[in-house]
Amino acid sequence: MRALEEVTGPNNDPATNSSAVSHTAANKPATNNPAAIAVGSLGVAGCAGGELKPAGIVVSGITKTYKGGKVKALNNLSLEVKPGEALGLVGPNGAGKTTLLSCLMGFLNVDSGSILVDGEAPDALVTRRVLGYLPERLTFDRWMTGRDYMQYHHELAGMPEATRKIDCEALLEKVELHPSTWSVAVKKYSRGMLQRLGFAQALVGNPRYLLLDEPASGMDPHGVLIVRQLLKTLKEDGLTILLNSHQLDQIEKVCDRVIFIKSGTVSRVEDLNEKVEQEEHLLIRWLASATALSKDDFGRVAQKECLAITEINSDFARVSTAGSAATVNLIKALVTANFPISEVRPEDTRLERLFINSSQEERSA
Amino acid sequence: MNRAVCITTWREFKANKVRVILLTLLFLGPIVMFTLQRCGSPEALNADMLSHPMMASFFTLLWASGVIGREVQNGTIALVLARPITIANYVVSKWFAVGFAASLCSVEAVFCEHIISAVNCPALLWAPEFLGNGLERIILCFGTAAFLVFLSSLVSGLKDLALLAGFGFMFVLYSAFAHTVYQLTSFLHFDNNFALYFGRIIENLFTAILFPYVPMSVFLTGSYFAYGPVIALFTLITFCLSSAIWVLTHREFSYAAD
Repeated sequence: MRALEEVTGPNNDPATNSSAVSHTAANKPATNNPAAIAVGSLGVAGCAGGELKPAGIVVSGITKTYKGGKVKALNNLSLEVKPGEALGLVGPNGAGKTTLLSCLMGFLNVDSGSILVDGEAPDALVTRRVLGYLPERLTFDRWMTGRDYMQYHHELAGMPEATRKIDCEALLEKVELHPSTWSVAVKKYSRGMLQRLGFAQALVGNPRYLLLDEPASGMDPHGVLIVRQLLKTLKEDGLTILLNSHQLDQIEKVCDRVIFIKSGTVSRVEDLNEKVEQEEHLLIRWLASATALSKDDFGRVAQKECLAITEINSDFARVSTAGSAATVNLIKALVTANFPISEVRPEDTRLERLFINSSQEERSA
Repeated sequence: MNRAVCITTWREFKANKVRVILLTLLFLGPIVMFTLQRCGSPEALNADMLSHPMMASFFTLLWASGVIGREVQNGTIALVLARPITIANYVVSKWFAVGFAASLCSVEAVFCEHIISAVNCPALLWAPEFLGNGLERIILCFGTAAFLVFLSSLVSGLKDLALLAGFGFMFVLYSAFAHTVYQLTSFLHFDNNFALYFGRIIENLFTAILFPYVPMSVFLTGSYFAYGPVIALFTLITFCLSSAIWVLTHREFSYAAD
C-alpha cells in the first residue's frame, strides 16, 4: 500500500476529509473549529488529570489466572507503551487481550507482576483520571438517553458542571452521533450507535491514555471510517492509544507498533514505522478495451519485476513482487509500455502478511 | 457522597415501571385502608391509629432490591468504578440514595394518613405521635437500607431478595428451635438461664438486622432503654456499609469472556 501511495500520491480516504472534530490535548492549542474549542475547554478542565507526569504504561511480567489457576489468561506478559504512542494488540480469540486491558484498567487483580500507569497503580484515583476505556461488549443503563449517559460520566469524571452540556455535545458530535438521537433512550440505539456512544464516553474527562477494545465492532463502513479518522486525530493530538482490534488494516493505519499476543504472552513485536522490504501481492487491472495489448504483453513486461504471476486474465492479473521498490518499478514499466492501468491494489496488508506468516510458523512448529 | 450516583439511582427507579406501580400500591394501600376503617368505624380517632412504622421497611425493600447487584449484572458498575470515584463513595452514595428516597416515600405516606385523621378529628393535627412515627420510619429506612445494600453487593441482579428471604427463614427456624429448646429445658427442670440469655441475644441480633427500630417514645424521654437500639442501629449501618465496601473492593469486574 505504501508503494502504491508513493506512485498515486496521498490516500483519498473519504474519512480523511470528513468534518470530524479534532480532539485537542491539554498541551495543544485548540483549532478554529467551534466543536474543537468546546473539547479544548474540556481539555483545560481535564488538567486535573495532569497531576501525573506522563511516563507511559509499564507492564512487568504479569500473570493472571482464572478458575483458581486452571485457566492462565496472561502468562508473564511484559510490555511498555510510551507516551504519545499508538500500540496495537493482535492475537486470536482467547489470547488474553481483553484480560490485559481489564488488568490495565484495574478491574482485575494480577496474580503476579506489576502494572504502572504514569508510575501509579492502575486502580489509583489519580490514574483513573487519565484513563479512558471502551470495552468491546459495552453495557449501558438502557433507560438513559445518549445525552444523559454522557452527562452522567462527565459528572463521574469530576468535570465542571458549567461546561457539562457543551462538552458532552462536542464529544457526541465528534463521534458523529446525529443530534436527533441524543435525546433517545439508549435501548433504542443500534449496535453501531452504541459503539459511537461508548467511544464518546471513553473521551469524557480528556484522558491521556485511551484503551480501546474493538472500537469499530458492529459499526457500518462509515462508522469504521470515522473511528479510524478519530484515532488518527487523537494520536496526532498526543494521546497514548492502546488498540485491540481484529481489523488489522485499522491497526496498521493508526498504530506505531503492534504486539502479537498468543496464549497470554507477547509472541512478536513489530514496529510499523520501520520500512520493511517484503513480498507484496498485488491485483493489477487495466482497460482491455482501450488497448491492443494482450495478457501475453502484460506477462512479458511484468516478468522482469515480478516474482510470480499467480493469475492472469484479459483485464487483470495477480502478481507477487519482492517489495515496494519492485512494485514501483513494475508500475513504471507498465506505464512506459502504454498499459492503461486502472487499478493497482495490494491483496493483503503488511500486518495481514505478518499475522498469516506467524500463524503458519506456529502451525508448522 | 457522589451526586451523580444518587441521582442515577433515583432515575433508574423511575424508569422501571413495575417498581413504580408497586410503589404506588404500597403508598396508596395503607391510606385507602386507613380511610375506610376510620370513616366507617364508630370508634373515636386517635393518634395511635397511624399505620405501623414497619411500613418503611417495605418501601426500603422496594427501593434497595438489586441497587448494586443490577449494576453488577449489567456490567455497568465497571465503567462507573473506572472513573475517579472510590468504592466507599459509591457504596455510601447508594445507601444514602435508597435511604433518602424510602424515607421520603414512607414519611409522605404517614403524612397523608395524618391529614386524613386531622380532617376527621381536627384535634389530632398537632398530635406528636405523627412526628414520632415519621422519625421512626426515617431511622428504619436508613437502617434497613444499609443491610440491603450489603446484601446487594454480595450478589448480582435481584438475588439479594433471595438472600433476604433466606435470612428471614433462618430467623423463623431459629425461633422455632429456640422455643423447643426452652420448653424442653423447662420440662426437664434444667438450669436454662444460659440458654435463655443466649437465645435472647441471637433473637435480638436477628431483630436488630431485619427491623432496626428505635422507639421514639422511649428515646425522647431520655431513658437508657433507648441506647441499646440506637447503638445497634449505628453498629448495623457501620458494619453493613464497611462489609459492602470490602466485598466490592475484593471483587473483580471484567469484560473478558470466562
